Amino acid sequence: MLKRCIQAENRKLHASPIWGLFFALPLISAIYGTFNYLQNLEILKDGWYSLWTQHTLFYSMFFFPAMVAAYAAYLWRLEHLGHNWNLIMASPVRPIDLFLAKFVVVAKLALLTHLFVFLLYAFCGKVFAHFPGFPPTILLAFLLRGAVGALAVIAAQLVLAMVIRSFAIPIFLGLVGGITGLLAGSKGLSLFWPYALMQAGMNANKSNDVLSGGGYILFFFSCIFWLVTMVLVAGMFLKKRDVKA
Amino acid sequence: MISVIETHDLCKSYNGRIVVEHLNLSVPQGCVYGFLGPNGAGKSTSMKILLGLVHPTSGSVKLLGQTMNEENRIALLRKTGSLIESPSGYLHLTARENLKIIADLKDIDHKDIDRVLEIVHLTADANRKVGQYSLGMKQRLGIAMALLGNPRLLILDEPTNGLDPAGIQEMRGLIASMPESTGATVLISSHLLGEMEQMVTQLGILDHGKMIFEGSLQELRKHSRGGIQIRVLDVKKGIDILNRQGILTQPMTHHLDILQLPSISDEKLAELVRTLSENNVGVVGLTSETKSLEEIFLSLTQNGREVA
Amino acid sequence: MAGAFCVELQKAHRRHDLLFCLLVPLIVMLWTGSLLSPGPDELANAYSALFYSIPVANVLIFPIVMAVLASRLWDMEVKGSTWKLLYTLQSRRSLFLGKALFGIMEVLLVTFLEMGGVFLTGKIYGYTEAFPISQLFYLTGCTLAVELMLFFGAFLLMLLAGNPLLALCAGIIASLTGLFSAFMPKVVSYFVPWGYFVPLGTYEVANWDQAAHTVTYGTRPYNWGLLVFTVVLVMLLFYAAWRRVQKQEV
Repeated sequence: MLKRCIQAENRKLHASPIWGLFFALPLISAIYGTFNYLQNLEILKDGWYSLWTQHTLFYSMFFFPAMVAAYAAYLWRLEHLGHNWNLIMASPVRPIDLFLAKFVVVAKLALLTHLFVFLLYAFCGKVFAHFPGFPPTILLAFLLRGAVGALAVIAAQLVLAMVIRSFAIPIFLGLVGGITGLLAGSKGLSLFWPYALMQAGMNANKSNDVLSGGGYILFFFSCIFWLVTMVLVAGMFLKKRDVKA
Repeated sequence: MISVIETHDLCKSYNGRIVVEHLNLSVPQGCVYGFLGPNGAGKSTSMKILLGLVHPTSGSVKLLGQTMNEENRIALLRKTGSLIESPSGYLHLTARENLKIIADLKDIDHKDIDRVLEIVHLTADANRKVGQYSLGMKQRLGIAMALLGNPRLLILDEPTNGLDPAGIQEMRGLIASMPESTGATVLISSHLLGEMEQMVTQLGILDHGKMIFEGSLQELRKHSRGGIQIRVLDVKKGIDILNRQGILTQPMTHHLDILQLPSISDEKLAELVRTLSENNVGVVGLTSETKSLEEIFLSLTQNGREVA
Repeated sequence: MAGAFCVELQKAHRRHDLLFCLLVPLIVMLWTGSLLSPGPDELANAYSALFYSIPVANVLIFPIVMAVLASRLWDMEVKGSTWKLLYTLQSRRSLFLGKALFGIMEVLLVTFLEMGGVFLTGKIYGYTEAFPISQLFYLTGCTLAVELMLFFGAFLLMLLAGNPLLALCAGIIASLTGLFSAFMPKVVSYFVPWGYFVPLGTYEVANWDQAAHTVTYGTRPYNWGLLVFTVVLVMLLFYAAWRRVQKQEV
């Protein structure tokens, strides 16, 4: 049943123009990141690592949450319009499966976006920055860590878009979330706040591994904690609220 | 007879596709005018042109005696009430708040709001948000908005859409009584031909953008008399005699003693009955079919012109 | 026209849009204020730091904020199927002007609150730098101009698409590209109108002492030419939106 929901959600998203953001945002991030790196060669001396921070900093802080917010808002908008809530609540699917199906679809798209970011990064590193060899494999690990960190944000945005029936407001909240993540990061609290987890996982701001030592445990614990919390909130909301089509 | 709405040679085409063709509409004052036509006939487009929502490719519209142009359009339309396609209503506001906005735009006293709410039976739900309304309630609100300020002209597109049978009956009664109670003229379009039959006094039938009939309901019926049925005792002899008179006939499928005749004039019919009786066929029953509005409408629009 | 504006005020009831306008400057001030939290030695340069950061924060936030406000302003008409009715009750010009005025009011509200926040932040944290009044007026004017440009651009996109998707996605991309253009050479930023907050700004980093981790800020001349150009863009977008409302076929 869940699998069918996922297929349905996939179709909904692919049919929309919104996933133009999927191409546009990483591309813009890559162009700027490369440019900024080349302009600041005196300061950014760590080769592949420096370029990585340039490519991923703004991406993980603001634009990924905003992009996910747009995907999530779009998927829920389809339900909020046209009495669709009646249709889906009456179908023989557990309400939470609907939420999880959307989650899987957005997470999949997010993962593809991360990989696209990495590909662009590798390409720019070879072609424009003329780095030797290949990107250090640890950066791929950072990317995957970042992907895990992003899951909590995806869940949070899906909850916001489900509860708030406007299309625009959850997107704005995604941006605000990104800002809160930045603030949490600057105060050293990034491992406690969902919007800062992705940035920490991707190591977008530092040269040394942020998560070395005990950091990993706290990081994964935090990811799981926030993910589970968001799913529980979603489940509670779906059960309690009367369907207001 | 003063016309409340008059169009002269109205045409509208979209990218070469003609939607309304040389439309000459005339709605007399104080009538309930039914605007009929199959889907895609151009009814909605015509009504939108009347309201100035769509610019005609050529032709003119006269509303309340004045030729409509950009300068006087709003002033004229303030004296009308309209409901086009889906009912309007801000979902986040209550019915009363919605009506206040429309009243302000129409420059009408807010006291009128209670009157129209009462007419459409929304007084009890007036302070609920429109987003929570059922389709029927939204429809009623749309009609209430049109009724604000007691307009001289009402243009309603499918006003009974979404209403339950009781609601449809009420609406029918309300519309039919409008000319008498308020002096308003009503132009309505609807697919519910049975309802239309009971409400309208004038009809305009549109097909493929052209007006194929305009006149009163009686005129339409007169032009489209249905067939005649004669019940006889001696069927075989009856068929024989009618055939000799040049009238092709046959018994009805489920009533083998009833002969089906095409529409003929009264004099010819009287003559036939006399001939049949004289020949001991035994005429025991005579009925004249009147086509329902639906049948006339379908035959008009499917088979081309029946009425010149 | 006053009537049309009053009607817009009625429509805004229960919409929380005005609340949103109060919230946005608050978020900007909290963000810039707390990020800066100047230490005692930095208080002498604090207003400069603030005046430098505010345009950067604006360039990130306001494309999306204006997309939200503009799309919501028209979306209520689309969702309620009311614009067809409104076209029979008021001229299209009156409807557009009512909406435009309401939008301008929202922009004024946000801007003045933000500028007030600048003043307050200084008072709360006890900045010792002399308060640059003329710079504040200039910043207000520039912020207003760019925000109005963003607003009418987003409003035009909303009118064209009939739903908020286009305006908001454009807002997200504008935020991203605007932010980046802020850190690019000035000549590049001139080609990114939605990022004009930054090239219009008069504060820049004068000296970055890497060892001591301190930054000192200096000022550059007012960019009147660009400000005039921005106002021209505002008028062009206003006109384009008006034409769209006038021509819209029902």
